[in-house]
Amino acid sequence: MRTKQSKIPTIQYLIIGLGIIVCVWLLPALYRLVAPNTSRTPFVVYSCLDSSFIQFETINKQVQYTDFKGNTFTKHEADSLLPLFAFRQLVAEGRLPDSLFGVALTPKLIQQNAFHFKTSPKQLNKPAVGLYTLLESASGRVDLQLPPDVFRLTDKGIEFIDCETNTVNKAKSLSFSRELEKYGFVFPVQLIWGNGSTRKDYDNGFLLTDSQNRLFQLKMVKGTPWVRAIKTDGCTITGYKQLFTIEPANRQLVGLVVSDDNQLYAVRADGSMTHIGIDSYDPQTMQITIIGDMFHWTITEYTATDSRYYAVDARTFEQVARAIIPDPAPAIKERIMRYVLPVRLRFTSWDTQLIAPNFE
Amino acid sequence: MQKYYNFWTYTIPKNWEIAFFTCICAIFFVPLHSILKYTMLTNLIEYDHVTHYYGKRLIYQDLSFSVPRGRILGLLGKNGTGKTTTINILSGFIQPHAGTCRLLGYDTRTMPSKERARIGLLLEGHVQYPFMTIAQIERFYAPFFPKWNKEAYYELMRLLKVKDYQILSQMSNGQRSQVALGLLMAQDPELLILDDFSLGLDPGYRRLFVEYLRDFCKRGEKTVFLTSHIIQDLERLVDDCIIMDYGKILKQCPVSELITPEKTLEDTFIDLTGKY
Amino acid sequence: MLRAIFYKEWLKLRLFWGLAVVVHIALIGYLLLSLRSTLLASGVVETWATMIGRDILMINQLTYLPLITGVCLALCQWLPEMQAKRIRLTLHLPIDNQLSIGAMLGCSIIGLCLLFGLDAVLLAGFGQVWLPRELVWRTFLTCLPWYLGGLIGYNIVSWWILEPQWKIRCVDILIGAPLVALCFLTTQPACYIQMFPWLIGLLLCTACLPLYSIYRFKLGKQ
Repeated sequence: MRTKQSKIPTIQYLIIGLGIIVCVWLLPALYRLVAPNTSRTPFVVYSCLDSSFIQFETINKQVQYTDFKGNTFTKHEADSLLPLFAFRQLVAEGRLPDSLFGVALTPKLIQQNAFHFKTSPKQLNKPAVGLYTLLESASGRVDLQLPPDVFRLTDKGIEFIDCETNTVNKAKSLSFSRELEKYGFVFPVQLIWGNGSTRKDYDNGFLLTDSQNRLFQLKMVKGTPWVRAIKTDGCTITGYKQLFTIEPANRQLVGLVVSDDNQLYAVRADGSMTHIGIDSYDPQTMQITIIGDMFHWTITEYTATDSRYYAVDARTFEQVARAIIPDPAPAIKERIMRYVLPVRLRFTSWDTQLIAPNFE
Repeated sequence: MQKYYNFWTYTIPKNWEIAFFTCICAIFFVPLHSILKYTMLTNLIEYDHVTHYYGKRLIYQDLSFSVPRGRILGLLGKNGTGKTTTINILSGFIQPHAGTCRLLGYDTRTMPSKERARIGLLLEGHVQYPFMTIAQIERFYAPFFPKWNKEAYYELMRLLKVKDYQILSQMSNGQRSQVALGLLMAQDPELLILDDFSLGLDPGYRRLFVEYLRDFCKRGEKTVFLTSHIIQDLERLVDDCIIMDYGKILKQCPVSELITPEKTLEDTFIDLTGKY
Repeated sequence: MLRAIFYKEWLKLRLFWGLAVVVHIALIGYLLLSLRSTLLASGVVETWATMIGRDILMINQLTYLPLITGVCLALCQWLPEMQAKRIRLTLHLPIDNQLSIGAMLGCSIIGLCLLFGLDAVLLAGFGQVWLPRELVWRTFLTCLPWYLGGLIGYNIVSWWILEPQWKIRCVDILIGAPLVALCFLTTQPACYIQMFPWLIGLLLCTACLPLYSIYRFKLGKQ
């Protein structure tokens, strides 16, 4: 009996270990609940008139407009400095300029060239379903409609599954796989991205890379496959990290892609690719927001240590302006917590939906 | 090689003789040791200088007693004097703060689990599994005990006129006490430890219980350690008696010494411990 | 002798197991019928698109069922044993205490695994008629932490009930409740994929805890 029960003290250590795990996990969370982190990040847009970044910051429930040089603006002035961003307000006030940089401005033209894109590591770091909806890109109808099937990726092609019968549509699968191969696509698919929502004006299908790290676009046009190999002339890309298909109103772009070396590229509607003039973008760790108008894109990146702001030319994607604002030093209560609880355990994180233990 | 200078030989033993002698010793020594140890064991319970506390509250200090083979010993005492604590220490459910408690020659803390088959335990209130029927509880216990006597159990059940399919939870306290006793008889242990067997029993069932138990013990030369809060029944059952008060033993002697034509055991108990 | 222990546990818990099977089949049946009615009412294409695009699996009602089952099992199994300290009857049996208590815990864990396996078979069997295998697999991955939560919950509550002292029970629940909560940190489908080895480790660790309570019981910590 005694010899068998000599295992029991081991269980005591196990209970102590489990208690420590619970403490290093929950005590920091409890501390954060009692003393929440109140730091906010401002909203920033590039002003093509002032050639500077204008930031919108809510302080004491009042929005303050400033630039990085410390100048403060009124709301009226800020609207004037950002005519393409605040065009609806300017139209309402009758203050919209007739033209800008020699281009005649109309609300419709501004709206058509407005572009918005936002993604975060949390949206990307999650297990994929493995099923994709390929919409009909040229149905002849104004509204997009859901197809009767979805597709999955296999080692040797793509496989369409008919929703009603839950069976593989072999003819369609073969036709799409063959068409891709005809354009030099070598299965299996490495990366794929598409937007299967019907709540958009049109459909750009899917961007996908093959086993040779080449980029293709796949669409369904009148029920038949439509494939295009994306030209990477002038871009030195060895591999891809992330693909995004986009459907901007001006129909000039097909997607945004991130290379292995964290460079961001725009895929144009003509199948060419252009480097976007920002230092780097790592989709696994950085949150990115792009607010574009007909002249410039404001690209904001939030990293773990700083906020980076870029303005790039909307046609050439060359960098026009750049500002990197380091995050403020941790507040005193945060430093106290780090001193009191030097080891912290988290299972959830701001940058992923996956649950996993992380010691800090 | 060692020489033997005794009356039966002056010769040096040969190698095969040494080997043979060693084998004989090896073959006979272990079982002989066990047999001798058991047959020479006169006290089946040895409670040796035991001290126990609940938290900081002292229950008793340096308490010693022993129960010889074949004797029935009753532990009497008022509530809170440590009767159930003693039962729990004997059963191995409490480890004393100091001292040792030996059952069948084994320290209760290190007793091999299979030796528990030789000890019958009756919990206070005749606690058993209420969801089982008469037949199911017998079927459950049978595989654990090598000397299991199914007939002894069912004989008692027949006397009680209970059916095999009756569930324990639907039986009276008295009937449940008989089931518990029947199970003890089927187990056929050498040592019985009974914790307040009279709890919840009316006089009829108490008498029945005592009579069956006495017959069973006398037939099989069983050793019994029991506690009871109703003293009048014990006169007919126990051979020896320990009267306990808070923290100490007031009297330890054969029951016959405590009973006189003028005084019952209960009178002596009250004399010793005060009214209760 | 172990067969006798299993026999006793069966007699004690057969009503619970019967009820648990009925409740589980009823809830899985309800989920499958709800899915079928959604497929018929909203259309298969639209339902699939919603499940794929919005990452919805329509099994939320199942979330806490395994935990409730595990907790109820622990209560049904150990409360009668702790009533009048009936556990002493088992501990007095001429069999190693860790073995007898381990057998009692083991047959419950096996029972829970069989019950949860039944759920999985029903969900996968009927699910694959109407859904592609990716969604069936995703459903399985989503449910798995809930089922592990049920097993861990059983271990934790058993540990808690068997603990003989109330003050230690309070500590046990402070440690145990967050450990159970670890299985329910997100409602997002299939997000526990990296946690499974850790949760299985936790399951094995927590399986030892009731033995510690028994050890303390035998020390007389009452």
